[in-house]
Amino acid sequence: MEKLASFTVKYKWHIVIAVTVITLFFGYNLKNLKVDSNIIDSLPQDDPTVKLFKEVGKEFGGNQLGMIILQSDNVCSKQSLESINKIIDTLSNIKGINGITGLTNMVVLNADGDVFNVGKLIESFPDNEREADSLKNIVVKNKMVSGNIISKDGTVTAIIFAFNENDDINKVAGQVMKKIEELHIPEKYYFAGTPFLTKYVDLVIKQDLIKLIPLAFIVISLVLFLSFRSFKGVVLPILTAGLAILWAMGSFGLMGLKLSMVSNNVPIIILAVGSAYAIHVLNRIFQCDEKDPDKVVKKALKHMFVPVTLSALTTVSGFLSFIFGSYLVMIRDFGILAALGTFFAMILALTLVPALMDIFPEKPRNPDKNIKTKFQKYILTPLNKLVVKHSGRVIAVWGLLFLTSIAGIFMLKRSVSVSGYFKKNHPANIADRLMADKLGGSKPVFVIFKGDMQDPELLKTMKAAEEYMLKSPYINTAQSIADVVENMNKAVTGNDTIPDSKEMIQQLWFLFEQNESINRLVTPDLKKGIILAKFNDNGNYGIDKFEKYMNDWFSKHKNKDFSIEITGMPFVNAKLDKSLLKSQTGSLIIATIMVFILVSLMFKSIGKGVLSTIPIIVTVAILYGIMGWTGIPLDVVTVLVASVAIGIGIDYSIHFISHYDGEIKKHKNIKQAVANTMHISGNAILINFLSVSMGFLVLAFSEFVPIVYFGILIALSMLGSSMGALTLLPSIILLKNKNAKDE
Amino acid sequence: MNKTVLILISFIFSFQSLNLQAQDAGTILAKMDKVMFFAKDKQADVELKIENLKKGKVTEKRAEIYEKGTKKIFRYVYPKSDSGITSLTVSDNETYIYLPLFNMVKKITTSSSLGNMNKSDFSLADKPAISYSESYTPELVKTTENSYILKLTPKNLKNPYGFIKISVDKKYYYPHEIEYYGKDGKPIKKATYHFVKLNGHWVADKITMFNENKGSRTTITLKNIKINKGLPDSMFTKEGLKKKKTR
Repeated sequence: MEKLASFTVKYKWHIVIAVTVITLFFGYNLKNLKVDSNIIDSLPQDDPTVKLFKEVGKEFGGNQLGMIILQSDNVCSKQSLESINKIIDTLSNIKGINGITGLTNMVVLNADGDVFNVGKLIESFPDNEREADSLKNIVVKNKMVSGNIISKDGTVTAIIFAFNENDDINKVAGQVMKKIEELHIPEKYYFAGTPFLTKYVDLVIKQDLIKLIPLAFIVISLVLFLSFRSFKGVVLPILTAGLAILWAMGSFGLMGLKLSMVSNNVPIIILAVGSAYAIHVLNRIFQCDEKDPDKVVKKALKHMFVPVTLSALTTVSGFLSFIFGSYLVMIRDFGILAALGTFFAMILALTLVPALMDIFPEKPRNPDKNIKTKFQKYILTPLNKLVVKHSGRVIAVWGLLFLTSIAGIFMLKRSVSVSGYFKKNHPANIADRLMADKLGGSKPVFVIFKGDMQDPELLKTMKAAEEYMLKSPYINTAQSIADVVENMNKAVTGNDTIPDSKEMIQQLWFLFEQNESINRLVTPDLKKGIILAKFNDNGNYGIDKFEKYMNDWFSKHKNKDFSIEITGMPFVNAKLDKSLLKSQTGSLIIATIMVFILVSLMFKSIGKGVLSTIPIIVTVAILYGIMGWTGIPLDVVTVLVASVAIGIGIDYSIHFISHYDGEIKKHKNIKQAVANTMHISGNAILINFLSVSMGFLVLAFSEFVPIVYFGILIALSMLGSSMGALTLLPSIILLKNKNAKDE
Repeated sequence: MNKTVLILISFIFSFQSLNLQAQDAGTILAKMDKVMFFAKDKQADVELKIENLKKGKVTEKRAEIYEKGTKKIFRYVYPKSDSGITSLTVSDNETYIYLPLFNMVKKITTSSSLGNMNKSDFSLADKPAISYSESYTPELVKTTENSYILKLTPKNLKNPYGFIKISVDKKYYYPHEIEYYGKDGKPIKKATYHFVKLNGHWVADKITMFNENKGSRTTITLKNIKINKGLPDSMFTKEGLKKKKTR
C-alpha cells in the first residue's frame, strides 16, 4: 500500500498522461459501439420455446408482426382508404417486410351458386359520406375482418405485416416508421407490435440518456459542491465516473459487444458506483491534517486503498455474477459492462484522483471547520448518540422493517408488457390499447401442427383447436389453413365442413394454392401448418393460464400421425420474465456469497464478512418489500436494481468497518471508534448517498416507466444501505460488545 | 388462378416467324404481332416449373393445353392430386374450373383490380389480349446486330407496368427477351424465350420468367406442339370440360 502510494506521488504526471492517452484510445473506439435491441437475438437459441418461435419465423414468413393502426371517424371513407393504400404501397417497397394485409388489398372469395368471385374486399372507393357509411356497414359485418382488421365501430383499422426473420428487424422497423411519417397522412396513426415497441424503447432510452444524464451530472455536482465546498470535490468524482463510463463503453465496443435495452442503463450505474470511490478518497484527503501534499495523498491512499479496492471488487463480483448462468445475452453483457466501468472507476479513484490532488493540492482546511461539517453536526452526531444509547431499539426497528418488507415481497408483481413500460399518453401505449380494445390484441400466438397438411383428421383437429382457442378469454381472432379448406368446401359443395377424403381436399387446395397468403399458414412441402392467433390479456398476466388451458387440450388430442405445439411472443416474454427472475435470484445469491467471501478474506474475519452483508440483505429485502407494497412491478429494468443495491450498499459497510477497524486499533475504545468512524467515514457515506441518490432521482423525469422506478428504487436502496451502515452496523457492533470493557 | 398459366402458354404459341425487314418501331411491332397471333388453334403438352430461388423450393406441374381464338383449356395430368382438374378461360375475368372428384364446374370471375395474385411469375398483364400494337405505343430505342430493342409504353393507364422493353429478332421478328418495368421505372422481371420452327412457323417452346425482387423463376416448356388441327368449338364449353379425354 505504501509502495502504491509512493508510486502515485512519484509518477503523478505519468499517470495523468497515461489516463489521457487511454481516454483518447477508448474515446476513438466508441465508434465500434453498436446497439442491438432485438430481444430474440438475446435468448439462448437452444431453448425449446425460442427454437419453435424461430422455426415459425423461418418457415411461415416471419414470426414478428408489425401493425400500423389508423384511426378516423370512418376508416372506410375515401380519404382513409387512400391513406391505407399509400401505407400498403410504401410498405411493399421496404425490404424485410412481407405478407402485408389491409382493408384495400384484402382478397375475398364470394360464392354465389355456381359462381365464385375472387376479388378485393373493397373494389372501389366511396365518393361521398353516404357511400362511405354504407361501405363501412358492409365491411364491419365481414367475419374475416371485423374485430381483426377493422374495429366493429369502423373507426380503427390495422395494416398488418410480418418482418422477415433474416433481416435486421430493428432497422426495418425504423425504416417503416420514417417512411410512413414522410407520407403525412391526415389520419391519426400508431405503430404496434414487438418490433416497433423495441424501437420505441430504443428511442426513449436514447432520448432519456441524452436529456437525463447531463441533468444527473449537474445535480450530483451541486450536491458535491454543497458537501465538499470545493471545486475539486465536484470535478474529480464526476471526472472519475465520466472517464470510467467512456473507458467501459470503448472497451465494450472493442470486445465486439452490443448495447441493449438493459445495458443502456449502465452509464447511470457507473455514475453512481464510480463517483463513490473518488468521493471516499477525496473525503480522506480533505480530512487529512497533514500540510505537505505528498504526505496527504500518501496517508489518504494508505487508508483508502483497502476499502476502495474491496468496495470495487465486491461490486465487480456482483456484476460478474450476471455472467454465470445468465439466460439472456443482454444480461450477461450488462454484467460485463457494469463490471468494467466499476473496475475502471476504482483504478481512476486510486491513481488519477490522488495524482491530481498532489499536482493541485487543496489548501489545508481549518481544523475546527474540519471537525464539524453540517452533516456531522446535524446528522452524524445525533445518529451516533442514537446508536450508542438505543442500539437495541435501532436493531428492533430494522428488524420490523425487514419483516414488513418480507410480507411485501409476497405481493410483488411482474410486468412483461413492454407497452406498459411507456406512459399512458405515449403512442406505443395508445397503440397497444387500441389493438387490445378494438382489434383483438397485438401479440401473435402460433399453434404448430406437424404432419400431412392435407390429412382430413389433422385439419379437423386444427379446426377444433382453433374453436377451443377462441373460447378462451385471451384469443379473439384466429385463422388457419383449415378455415381456408372449410370455406372452399362450403363454396363448392355448400357444406361448412372439412371433407372426409384427402383427394377432395387436394382438389379444393388447387383452387387456392396459388394465393401467396397461404404461405403464412402452411409450408410449401405441406408438412407444417399453423393456427395464427392474436393474444390479448390486457396486461393481466394470463399467459401461464392460457398455456395450461391449451396444453390440457393438446394432451387430450394426441395423434400418432401429427404433433401439436404452441409458441408465440407472449410465451417468449413469459420465458424471458421467468428466466430474468431466475437468473436475478441466482446472481443475487452468487453476489452475496462472493461479497461475503471477499470481505471475510480482506478483513481476515468471517464475523466481519457476516456483519458487512447484513445491511445489504436488509436493504434488498426492503427494496423488494417497497416494490410489493407500492405495486412497482419487477420488469426487465427494475429486476436489476437489487444487484446495484448490493454493489453500492456493501461499499458503505466496507468503508464503515474498515474505518472502524483502524479506529479500534488506535483507540481500543468501541464507542470512541464508532464515533470517529461515524464522524469521518459517515461524512463520506452521507455525501455519497446524497449526491448519487439525487442524481438518480433525476430519472423520475424519464419518459420510460421502468427508468422512473429504477431511479426512485436506486435512491431508496442507497438510503437503506447508507442508513444501514450508519445505524444498523454500529448498533450491532455496540450491542455485540455491550459487555466488553471499554478502555 | 391457373388461367394465367394458360394465357401465357398461348402467349408462347403466338410467335411465328416473318422474314421481313422492319423500317420503324410501329412496323416492327406489327410484324411481331403477326408472328404471335398467326395460329387459329394450338395444342401441346406443358411442363411448368416454379422455383423459389431463396428457399430452393421447386414445384412442378404437367398439363395438356388447347387454344382457339381467345379461349383456352388447361387440363392437368400431374401431380396425381391435380389430375383431371380442368380450366377453361373465356376472357381475362371469366374462367370455368372443373373438379372431377366433385363432378362440378364452377365459374370463377376475377376482379380486374386484383392484379397479380399468382405464385408463378407470370401475370395476366404480361400479354395483351389482342395485339401489342393496340395496347402499346412503340419506340425504337436501339438496334443491335441481331435485334431491334423496342420500348413499349402502355396506352391504358390501368396497365400495371410503366413500360416494357422487347428485344425483337431482326430476321424472324420473334422476341428474344421482354423486360418489365414498374411505374417508377424500376425493373420488375424479365422473360427469355426459345423458339423452334414448326411447319414453317417459329413457335416458342420454352419461356422463362425471372423475378429478381421476389427471388423466383418460372419456366414453361412445351412438347408435342400442334398447330391448326381444327379443334372443335364444342371443346371450349362448360360441357366440354367434363369430358375425361380431350384427345
